[in-house]
Amino acid sequence: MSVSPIESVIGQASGASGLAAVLPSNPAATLSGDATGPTSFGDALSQAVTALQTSQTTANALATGAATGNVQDIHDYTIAANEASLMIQTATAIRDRLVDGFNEIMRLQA
Amino acid sequence: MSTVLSAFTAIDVAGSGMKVYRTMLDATSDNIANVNTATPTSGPAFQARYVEAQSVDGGATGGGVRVAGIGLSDPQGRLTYSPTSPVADAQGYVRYPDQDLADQMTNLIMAQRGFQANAAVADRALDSYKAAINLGRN
Repeated sequence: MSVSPIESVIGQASGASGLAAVLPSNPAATLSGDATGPTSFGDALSQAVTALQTSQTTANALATGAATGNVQDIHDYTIAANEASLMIQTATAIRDRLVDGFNEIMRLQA
Repeated sequence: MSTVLSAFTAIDVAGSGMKVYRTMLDATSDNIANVNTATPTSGPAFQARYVEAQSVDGGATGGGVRVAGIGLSDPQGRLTYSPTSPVADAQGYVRYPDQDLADQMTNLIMAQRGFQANAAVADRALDSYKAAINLGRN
């Protein structure tokens, strides 16, 4: 592989994640926002955080609805909660890998 | 359900299936509740509701399913001689809904099993995604 380790980690985070690449239908849409791919890593990151925020807001609204009896489909809430949890886990997994890669480079010695 | 996240397509698709079968459960429970509902001959009989499902286009693997509409049974119903009924007409006839309890029980089982199957898909998809996230951890 011609890219350096840190680039490959960033490439993994900014393009389709390993998880999304498995899925054939617009794989990178959630993490990158469009089909053509993100313009920069910063854009990708901010879009991912926005998607994360949206999923949490949806789950929160549905949780309130479920608690107050204002939800028609119970599974809407459980699915939204699970998806929000999955997205958080994905985000933390990506962050962990990035930090790991950075630490690995910082440990380099001549 | 609205797809906020398309990375977890399988869960959303299973959710759309659960919604359709939940609607079918609702419709069937209403039909069974009204299986003996008599109405005056001047108006329509109680009309049993039947859920019509339709696939949703979306991406290469499809976008799930949705309720296209609700079909109604014959408004003529069954004309039944029941002179003691408070809604009977001058000749003693009332309208009973044109539906069969055995059919409704069959639909009920279909809706229940369909819902359970979709819930199982959502569960499996969740497990798979978690496995993907935990790849290489530990």
